[in-house]
Amino acid sequence: MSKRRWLFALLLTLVPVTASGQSTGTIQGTVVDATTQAPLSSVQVSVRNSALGTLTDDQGRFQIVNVPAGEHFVRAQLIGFGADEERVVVSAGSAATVTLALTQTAIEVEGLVVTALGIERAERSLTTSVEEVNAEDLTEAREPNLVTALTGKVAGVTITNSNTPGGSSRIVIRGANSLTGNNQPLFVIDGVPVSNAAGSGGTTGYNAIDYGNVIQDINPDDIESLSVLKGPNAAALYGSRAANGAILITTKNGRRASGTAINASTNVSFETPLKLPTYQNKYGQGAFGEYSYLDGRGNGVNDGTDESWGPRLDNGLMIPQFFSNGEAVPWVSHPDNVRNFFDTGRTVNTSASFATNSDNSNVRFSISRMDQEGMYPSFELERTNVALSGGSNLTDRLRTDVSVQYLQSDGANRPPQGYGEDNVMWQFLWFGRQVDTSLLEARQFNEDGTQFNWNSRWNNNPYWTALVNSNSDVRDRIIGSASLSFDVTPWLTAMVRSGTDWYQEERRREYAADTRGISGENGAFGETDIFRQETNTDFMLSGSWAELGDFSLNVDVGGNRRNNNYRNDGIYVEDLVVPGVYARSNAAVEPSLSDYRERKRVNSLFGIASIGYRDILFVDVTGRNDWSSTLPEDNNSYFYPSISSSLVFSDLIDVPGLSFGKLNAGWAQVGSDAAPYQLVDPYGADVPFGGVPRLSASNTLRNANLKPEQTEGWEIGTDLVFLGDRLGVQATYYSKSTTNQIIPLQISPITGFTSRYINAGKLSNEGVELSVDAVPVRLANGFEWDVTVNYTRNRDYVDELYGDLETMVLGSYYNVSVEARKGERYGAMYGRMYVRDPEGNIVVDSDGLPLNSSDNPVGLLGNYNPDWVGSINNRLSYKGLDLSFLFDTRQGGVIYSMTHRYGQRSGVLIETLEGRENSIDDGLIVEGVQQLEDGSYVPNTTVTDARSYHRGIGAITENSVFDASFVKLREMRLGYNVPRSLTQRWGVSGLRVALVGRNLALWSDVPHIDPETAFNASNVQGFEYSQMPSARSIGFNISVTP
Amino acid sequence: MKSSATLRVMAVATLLTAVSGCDEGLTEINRNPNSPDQATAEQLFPNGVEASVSRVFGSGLHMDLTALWAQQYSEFLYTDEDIFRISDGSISGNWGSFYAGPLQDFQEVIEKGVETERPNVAAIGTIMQTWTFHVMTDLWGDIGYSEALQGRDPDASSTPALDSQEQVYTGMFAALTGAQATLAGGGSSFTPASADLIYGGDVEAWQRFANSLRLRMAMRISDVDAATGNAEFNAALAAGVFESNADNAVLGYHDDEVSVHPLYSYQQSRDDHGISATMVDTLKALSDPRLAVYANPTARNGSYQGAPNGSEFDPPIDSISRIGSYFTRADAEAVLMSYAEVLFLQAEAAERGWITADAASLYTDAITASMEQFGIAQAEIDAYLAQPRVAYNGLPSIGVQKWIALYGNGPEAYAEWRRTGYPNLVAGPDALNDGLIPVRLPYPQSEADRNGENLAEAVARQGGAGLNDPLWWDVN
Repeated sequence: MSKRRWLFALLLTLVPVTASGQSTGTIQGTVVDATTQAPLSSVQVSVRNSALGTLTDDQGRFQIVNVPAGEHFVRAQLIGFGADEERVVVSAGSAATVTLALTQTAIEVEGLVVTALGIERAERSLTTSVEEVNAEDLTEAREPNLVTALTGKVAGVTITNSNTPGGSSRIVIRGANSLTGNNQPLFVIDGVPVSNAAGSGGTTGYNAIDYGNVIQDINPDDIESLSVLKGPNAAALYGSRAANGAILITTKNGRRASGTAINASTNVSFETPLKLPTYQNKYGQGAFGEYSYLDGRGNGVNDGTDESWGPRLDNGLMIPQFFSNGEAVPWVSHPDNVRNFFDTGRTVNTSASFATNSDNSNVRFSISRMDQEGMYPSFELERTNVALSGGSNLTDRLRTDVSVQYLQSDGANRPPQGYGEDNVMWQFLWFGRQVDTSLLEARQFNEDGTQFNWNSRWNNNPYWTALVNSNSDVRDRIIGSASLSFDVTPWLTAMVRSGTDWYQEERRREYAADTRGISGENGAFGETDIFRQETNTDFMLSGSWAELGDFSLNVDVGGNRRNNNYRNDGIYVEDLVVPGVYARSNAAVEPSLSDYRERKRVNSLFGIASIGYRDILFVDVTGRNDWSSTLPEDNNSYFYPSISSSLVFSDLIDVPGLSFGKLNAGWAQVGSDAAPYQLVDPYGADVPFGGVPRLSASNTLRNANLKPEQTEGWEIGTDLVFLGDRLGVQATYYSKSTTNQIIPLQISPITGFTSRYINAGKLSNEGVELSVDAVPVRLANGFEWDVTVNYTRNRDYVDELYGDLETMVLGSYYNVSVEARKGERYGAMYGRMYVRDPEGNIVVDSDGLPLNSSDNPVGLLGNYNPDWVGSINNRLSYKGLDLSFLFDTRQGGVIYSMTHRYGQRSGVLIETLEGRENSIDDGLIVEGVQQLEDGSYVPNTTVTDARSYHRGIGAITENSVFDASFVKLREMRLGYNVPRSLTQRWGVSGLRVALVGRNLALWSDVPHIDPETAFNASNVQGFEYSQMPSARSIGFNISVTP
Repeated sequence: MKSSATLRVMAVATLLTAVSGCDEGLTEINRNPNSPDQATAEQLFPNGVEASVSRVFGSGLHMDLTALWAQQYSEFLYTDEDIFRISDGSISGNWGSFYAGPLQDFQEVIEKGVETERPNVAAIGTIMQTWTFHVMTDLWGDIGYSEALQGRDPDASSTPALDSQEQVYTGMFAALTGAQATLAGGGSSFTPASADLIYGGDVEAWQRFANSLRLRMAMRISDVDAATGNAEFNAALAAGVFESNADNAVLGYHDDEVSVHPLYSYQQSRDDHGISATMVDTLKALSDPRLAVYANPTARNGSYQGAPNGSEFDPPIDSISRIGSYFTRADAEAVLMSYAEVLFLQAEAAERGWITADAASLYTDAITASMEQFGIAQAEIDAYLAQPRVAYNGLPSIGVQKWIALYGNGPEAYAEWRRTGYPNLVAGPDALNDGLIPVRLPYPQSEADRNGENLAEAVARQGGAGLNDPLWWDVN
């Protein structure tokens, strides 16, 4: 909430003025948008080096009285805009008129940003790293997931997304702090923390569905500003939730409206696969060059095999196939059989808003709708958002603000993920390359009602999964808050506020009879109901003393109570009485049920004191004490302090070419409490065995003496502007470490337990963030070229674990484990390597195959974290026309590709032609050495057959690990602001049209897949599991202001 | 004044939160509503039994490792384990899930039996725990035993030492002897008795099982420590062992969709195991009527055809006999130990001169008991025994017939093959591991990560723990 700004204004206007009228005059004028010349309301206008100031009205007008005669500088500031300052000479008894124009320029140091607790501050007075994202950058080239939309736009932030439509996107600011806990930032909307819970599963599980992270419910059109508080220093006031930084979203509430404002926009985009695996098209299904279909279950010739080691395609062969009723038909390739499976996706966003602002109140109503039809057949995601917000000055001193948003997300037939027959990309790996998928699209049923498919042993017809089986999810969510504030004295304001984020979600999956992988003869279904709520109630007292000689002082103290509630109820019915009726009353077996409930409460007191000296030196001191329900009763109170300062040195010394220079430094200590119920060991009930009830001891030992995790960090930074406003540089170096980590220490199972919760370990990060904004070209005719470069380099080291413990396995999938290993970077990946001779050559066995057994060394395959990430955005503008394009890159880090591993094993990928280019009898010679009996090595000359080589090699996981570096053309926009002279003829005051594109091009050395892939929302990353192809999207955007 | 009223509201709000540190609700909020924090022996015991038995007779340890290596079953289509390409995941899951699972459940049954002064409950917990430890040590050799299962003790080490297999055997003999002596005092055990999924609370039956298990263990060490083996064998025999198939230690599963046999669950989603050609060919050569129980006829022509072990070349799957439905029904049984096995053990003891008895007649009794266990008619048994090929000829005949009788119990068949060398098994044509059938399971990487020093010591003590490094008792 931006209490501070209107408080400041009220304060300024209410302070009794004692000076006599004779020596004073008035400054009056208007503030406009420099681009559109439209008046701007609620702009903070102040007179430099004085306490005088006001806000503009809805016509953009302002008037400041009792200005001492003489020369003054009037400054106008508005969030999202660069400030403007004009020189004015005031004569006693008269009024000076001035027009100020604010620009949305790339480089701004005098603008306002939202900081912790919603306090708005001028950028020059910031003592920590806070970065604003322009709201327009989130709406135009629209990305359905708000987190993904931030990619490449903020230094210090690493985003990985799953590529699944509607799926997860993971955000980490300045590296991981917690070995096994949450490493994603807190999201706050209008001062109220909201959930960004992961939808579950990610792309990890067997046929799992990625329901995505829930912050994507937010409509970007409702966002007025988005601030990224990077790391513990900026977020210190959030105490036990500050360690990972915070993202503060301020929604539009009509206060910026000039009178009544209406806006409507629509955005349409079309999606196609950006990258698909490169398949071979020379050999079809089968083994040893032989195949003939009988029943697809293994009773023909290799017809149960879902691999492509079969006969040569396009060679005149006639072979019975799955669609030919036993008749021999041409054995021909279908090179586009996978691409043809995917449709052209379509996403339509439409939103409209109405806002009105008068002297005492403001209201905004908005409604938006997103309809997405995916590339995956039958996938749909619909989102509806309705938001109503406003505020009113009930009296001169009492104000209320209320905001409520209703959000509905309605998904259907999300593509199943992970390793399993329902994931179509998995199936296209275990595939007969000759299969014509259009035949499978044409029908899914045999005449007897059973499934029609190319293989009946392992797989479901991909269209069976997409069209016959179904899944759906509906989430209804309300985010709301109400506040009341009262000006106790002109310098003291009291505020109370309560807000909640509440949602209920129902997920269903239905499986038809004859679905492979389901044991129920007549089909099965499952349903999960999720309820999640967080309620925050707080109060705050804010005191502001602008004029204490050369000093200014702002003090805010407050308290907060947070309640979290979570419930998850599941039912699974394994078989049905009658096919096609997915209801409990049709259950043929006892349904299996699960339920889970969780509650948490944190009480807090906090305060911040900000001291300014001559608008040059600023010092902030904060403190917060949390009492958490998840910690032991006599040990549940923790205090988190921080101190930070900044110095605008350019106001002290004159450096040629430097128009603004600031240094800042800070230190903070924040924390993170435990998850609920980690203090007492539970016993788990299993399904009664033959009716006998039973309980088992937990595998994890809880700990009744847990303490919170503690993160301590410091940072230094500088903010420099050169050459007027042509070049800006922001650089920050930070260092932080987290100790007392609450970790489920993996212990020898001989103890009877596999893990034990303890406080231990130390994870430290250091890094550099660099942002450069430049205007290389600015011509008198209005042409301008802006460049923004972001660079982020983070190193995340595991300094300590526990005692002599060398490693903690964060997760292990398909023979590769992600580990936190002492002395190494967090996220190290370990797996089976080649056996090599002292020269590093691969050692092969007597068959000419690389040595491949449990005796092979297990070694470091790499680390999933990038060495650095960066982006370059260029924006060219000329009059109403603008073109921008954003490239971003991740450099370094590795990815373990299951697409590569299993696609090689099954013979579908292009590289499996090695050794059978001309015939399956070709064979290949592995580049390596053989060891002789005397121990010496000689070059390998043994020919091995392609199938043996490619099928066996996958167990050596090193073979499927790749450098995950990539460069992407992330975003491109070509926009045109139709001139007012034209639009007024059509009866509208503003019209903008834009051509937009996202994920337009990818450069990477990783074969077959887009290396930008999130495994799930957890700390286990660096895996790719037959990913859905990422989407290249191209569309247009129209925005109208009547 | 309006403002003073508002001030009062603010002051109250301030006060409310100021006392938040003493919020009595905080502790109450953190009470776990999802799970109990206490359990009784009657709740833990059935879980331990089901978990250990389903692991020993389930898809991982039995079907995908020991029953393949003992050539009872074979894999087709995906043959990794059958050619001895073993992933660490399949090892670590079994190792860790025994300890942090049934062994810990049994440990708590024992402790609760002691706490509630019900020694019989503790004794039965000890017998099942020992049965589980025995399966483990015969797969891995040195295991955590004397320092195991102490995790709840805050002073206990997170890195327990492993005991030598010899020490484990010494401990297990003592544990069984003690448990049997306790039960010999009579009295009741579990209340309700239904918590005992194996013998329904019958303390006499448990004594016979304890003694029979002791026979099995005593014979296992016959080559490495015949003196101890002989003494333990005779003591156990004197204390009373199985006397009929009714005494068998059996866990029966249920056709109720949830308490189903683990092989039934496996076959719901995969069909890639058949009966081994080695087994089928042996049974055919002996005209063994158990073939129709052990295997299902092929879909192609209704004959019985095994699949060769360790071959990457897949025959058409309709010409492979699957594992007999007797073993893979939802309500199939897991036989922890059978009367037939007890008779084979006695036959061998007689042959070795440990006991005075007629080895040949014990041998035919054993075959008869096995046939009866699988429901073979008396006439067929008589015809079978009349064949010269079946006639008793010392240890080789015991070895082969016991291997046949142990069909469905991969871990025990695999252990006895390693001890006796019967039957003569040869690795398949595509086998890795230098064409040698492994003689043990490797330790999981996770134990090296978490308990490296102790594991390294145990590996050094055994002279290595690779697939071809034999166990302590495997000296021939």
